[in-house]
Amino acid sequence: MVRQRDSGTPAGQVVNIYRKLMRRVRWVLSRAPHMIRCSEFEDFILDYLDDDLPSAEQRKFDFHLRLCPECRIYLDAYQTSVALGRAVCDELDDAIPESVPEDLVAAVLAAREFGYEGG
Amino acid sequence: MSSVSNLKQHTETELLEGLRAGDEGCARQLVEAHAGRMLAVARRFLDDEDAAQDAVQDAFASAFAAIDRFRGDSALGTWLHSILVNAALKRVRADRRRHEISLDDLMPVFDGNGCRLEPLQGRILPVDQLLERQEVRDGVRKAIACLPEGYRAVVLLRDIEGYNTDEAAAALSISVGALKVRLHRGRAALKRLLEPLLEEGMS
Repeated sequence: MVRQRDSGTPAGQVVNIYRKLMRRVRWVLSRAPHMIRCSEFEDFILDYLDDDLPSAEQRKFDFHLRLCPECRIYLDAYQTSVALGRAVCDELDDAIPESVPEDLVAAVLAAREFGYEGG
Repeated sequence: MSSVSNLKQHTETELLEGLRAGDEGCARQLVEAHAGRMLAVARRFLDDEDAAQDAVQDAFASAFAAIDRFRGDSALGTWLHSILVNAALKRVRADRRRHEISLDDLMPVFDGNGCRLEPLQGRILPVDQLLERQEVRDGVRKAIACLPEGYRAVVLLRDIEGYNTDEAAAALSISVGALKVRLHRGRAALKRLLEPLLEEGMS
């Protein structure tokens, strides 16, 4: 389940009550015309990042993003995760190749000898 | 086969000529120069070490068979990399049924009104700052490895190998719609797994 940080402390409880109240406010707002909920925002993220959102949806997406701190943090963390994945894998590509099991090299060369053409 | 070619390191052009002529020393040089990196990439796609090694072997077999068609408009390493990715994907596809792990527990959570319940509250640190930490780099590697192969393959193809949506869908023999669902779920799961590392003031 979702971590509600510090919910044991009075300050934490105030924060959680405030967040709950703001969710309520956003929910009321989200029912106005041209507004979307977080769950709809979620469905737009992929196309948004690919620049594939039709302009009407793009406007709704941008407006929701301005209004909703939770979706802002979510999107930031989502994009950061993608960027981290890319950077870490690129790093691996640049690293000195690790040693290869000699029997793999032997198997590859033997397969070549016998004209095996891959699976 | 020429024994001399075992002793010297060929340039890429010489290597290609040797490979086309069936020179065994050149074949060995090619395998020794590229197998390590290819195995590392194959392991990224495949959990099973034997499957990863098989993918490398398949890739070299395809490469030797197709060496006459290699036009040299990319580096040999790049060409081998793309063959390897295809060989690994074949094994991901073959293994698909074994890996139906649900990502449901890692998906974003909404309340009954469709409002997001976001566990993160603070500022997300910039990527370059995060990458300075070894524990972050290890955590990212581990998180990618945690994804079920079918989702991981989609994330790797789109976000790391640079395939576009259509290319990735074709490579995995799934519809574009299915690809998009898997990509989003895979990324969302990755975000969820990385949460403890991303925030200012954490760790």
